[in-house]
Amino acid sequence: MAATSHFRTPFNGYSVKFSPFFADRIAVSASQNFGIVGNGHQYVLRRELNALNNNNTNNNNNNFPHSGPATLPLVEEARFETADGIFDCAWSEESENVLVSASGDGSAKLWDVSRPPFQNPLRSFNEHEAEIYTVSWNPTRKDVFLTASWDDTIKLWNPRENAHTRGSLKTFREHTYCVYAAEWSPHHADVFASVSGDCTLKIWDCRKNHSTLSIPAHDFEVLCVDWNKYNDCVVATGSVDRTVKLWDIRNPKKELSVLRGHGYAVRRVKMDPFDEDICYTASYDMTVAMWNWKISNTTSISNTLGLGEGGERGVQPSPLLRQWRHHTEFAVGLDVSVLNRGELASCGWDSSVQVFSNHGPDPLPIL
Amino acid sequence: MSNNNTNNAMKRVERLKTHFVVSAPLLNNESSTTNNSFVERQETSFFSSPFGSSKHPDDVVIVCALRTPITRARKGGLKDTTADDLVATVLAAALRETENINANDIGDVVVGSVLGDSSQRANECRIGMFLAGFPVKVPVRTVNRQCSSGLQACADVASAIKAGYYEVGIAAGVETMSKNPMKWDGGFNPKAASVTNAQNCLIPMGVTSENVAAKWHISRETQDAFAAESHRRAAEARRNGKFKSQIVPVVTKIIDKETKEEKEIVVSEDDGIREGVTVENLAKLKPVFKKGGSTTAGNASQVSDGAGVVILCKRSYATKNGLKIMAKWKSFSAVGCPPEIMGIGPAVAIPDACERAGVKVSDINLFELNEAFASQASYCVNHLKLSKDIVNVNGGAIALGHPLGATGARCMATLLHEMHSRDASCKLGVVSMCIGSGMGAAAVVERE
Repeated sequence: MAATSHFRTPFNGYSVKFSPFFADRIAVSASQNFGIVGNGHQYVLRRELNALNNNNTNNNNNNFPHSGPATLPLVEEARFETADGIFDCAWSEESENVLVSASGDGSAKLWDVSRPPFQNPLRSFNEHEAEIYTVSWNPTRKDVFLTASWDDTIKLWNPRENAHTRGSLKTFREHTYCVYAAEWSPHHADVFASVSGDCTLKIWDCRKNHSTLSIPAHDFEVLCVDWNKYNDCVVATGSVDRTVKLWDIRNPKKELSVLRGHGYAVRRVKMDPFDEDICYTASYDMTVAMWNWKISNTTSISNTLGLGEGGERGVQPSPLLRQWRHHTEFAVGLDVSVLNRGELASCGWDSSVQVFSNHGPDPLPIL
Repeated sequence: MSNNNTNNAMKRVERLKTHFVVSAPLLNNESSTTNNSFVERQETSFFSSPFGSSKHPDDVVIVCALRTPITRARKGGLKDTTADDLVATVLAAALRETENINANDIGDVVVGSVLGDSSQRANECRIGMFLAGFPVKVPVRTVNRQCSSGLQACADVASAIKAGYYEVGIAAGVETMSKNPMKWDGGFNPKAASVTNAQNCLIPMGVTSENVAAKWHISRETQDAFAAESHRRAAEARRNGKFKSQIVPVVTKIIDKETKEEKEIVVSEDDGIREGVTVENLAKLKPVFKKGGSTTAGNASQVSDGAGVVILCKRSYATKNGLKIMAKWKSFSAVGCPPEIMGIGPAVAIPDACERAGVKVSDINLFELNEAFASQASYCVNHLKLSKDIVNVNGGAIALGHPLGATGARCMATLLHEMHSRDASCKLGVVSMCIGSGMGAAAVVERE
């Protein structure tokens, strides 16, 4: 299905996440005034998949001007409001109605979509001393999540076990500057990766107090990280240096490949759940891109010098497969559906949320 | 609490700004999607909101812009003043105006100069610097891009600051057309005859004006009306003391033509401006460059003496030293055009500079568009669809004079002082001029 959907948040978009339970459910985090000062909104949106059939016949006025392949309505199912901006969110892996938000005031807030607004948030985890930038729910152990904060630490939480203590399970202190992201490995229940403004990528086993590996990954701040879903040793990092680097953590001396093409910092990187070779990025250059990371710029350069294997001299296959320009401001949030192959969602400071397919038509900018 | 919020907000802005420290291509073989205007885009959409500012510590800003009076060559108050004295006068005044600048911090002094003998003029600038009391460690050089030399000097200093060569520098311009008339040394290269554009570089400026007038049907009446308006505006500005804050009086000597007697004078006003010039007076003048032509001594810029100075620095330097920031330097562009119609230069350079600044030509609040000739200035105003109310509001080179190398700096001083005499809605300004041999230059500044 190649239908696109769009939604406009009054605030500026920061994060978008597909529900792991329902193909039509999407969480969106947004912040007032670009997240610099003001309130936050945590949305849960629903894509009206059934609307596709009658949409083309009698519901045309609902369509966005590009009539082509249908657009599906994206409607608000719930909206939670916070006093400070929200920078990220993550769905619970064990309860389909629960999600957690990362807030600018250093709190992580747990929401239940099935409960009325006055019963929300279910919990607020207040320990970080500065902004939380990302949250990651453990997809394997399902009962814990991580928060990465500008107070240079990462914290591990179990929302159920700690109901009486209201404290984190553990605090990971090793980064020397803002932690911009921490992401669970999809392969090992205790392993996660973190990236920081200190320019390092760290790999952790949460049973230990110190990281098991620290890689000086980029020359500039590292803003995002994701794990390959097929190869448990491959990690992608995106940086202010505008590149994405792919790492084999067994051989941290040198990256596997470098993906160049973005004009500004790479703000999100996501590995495809259906294809080992594919990853996606969202950048401050306002674009969303699709890459085959196994075609590396470095490989192609060595090919042209006649040093690499295969490839004719002068032929440089580009790892950049596709680039979308539907955002008119920084593209900040990006997710890939684990339920529908090739389905992507992005959001940005232009306040638009867009759902589209990696093999479908380009979504249009919402003005 | 609100204080806390502000601190938090500032902290977030600072953090986010560091996400943009890399924006130029890192490697030769990179395909880059960056465009020049993006940084400004990002500023207008993000850093300017919600605080309404686009201030970054690495910005290049202007903290001082002054000029001498512009006087008529061979007749006016500065006719016997040497280039080094003019340079010394503006440099010393600029340092007096910005007393928090430690002269030892100044990374370079770049002086626009066109007609003076190149090597001699460079030496005169060094002498002028010492006459102004500069420390020996501060270097100096000249720059020559014809009529835009003073503006090019600003651009050179701005780019050196951006490159990190130094944090504060002085751009200046000087011309003594009384002593250094326009001339051509040696013969002409016969090869030029075979390349039209090369040949056309030899066309006298007045003839290029006639070409522009003929090509775009700019009538003698239009040109004379333009010239009369220039004098009217300049006269009114002088009468109302509008130039006072930008003019540095020159203490100098003048030699009486008859008696050869030398006497000390203070020149503190422009002397090319004529009160009461009318279209009718101007209509009586004969065309100079072409039989039946339309360019006269009355609707062309005056031959003049004068100097100007602009101090540029990094915003962080200005903040650290408590300097009052007049404007942010946003963009500069020099673009070529056919030599035989060199007067259209601003019409190509202004859109380019605006694009580089990420603004539209229609966003500009005030222009200093050098009036080399009424023909070309009228053409540029029409072509760019500019309102006459925001172009050369205090008159231009037809009334004030056009000391070639100094004009860019002179225009910058006139522009910035006028902008600061207006309310805060007057935000964006442009200085532009045409350049002999077929070019235009333009700079965009944002008033603070």
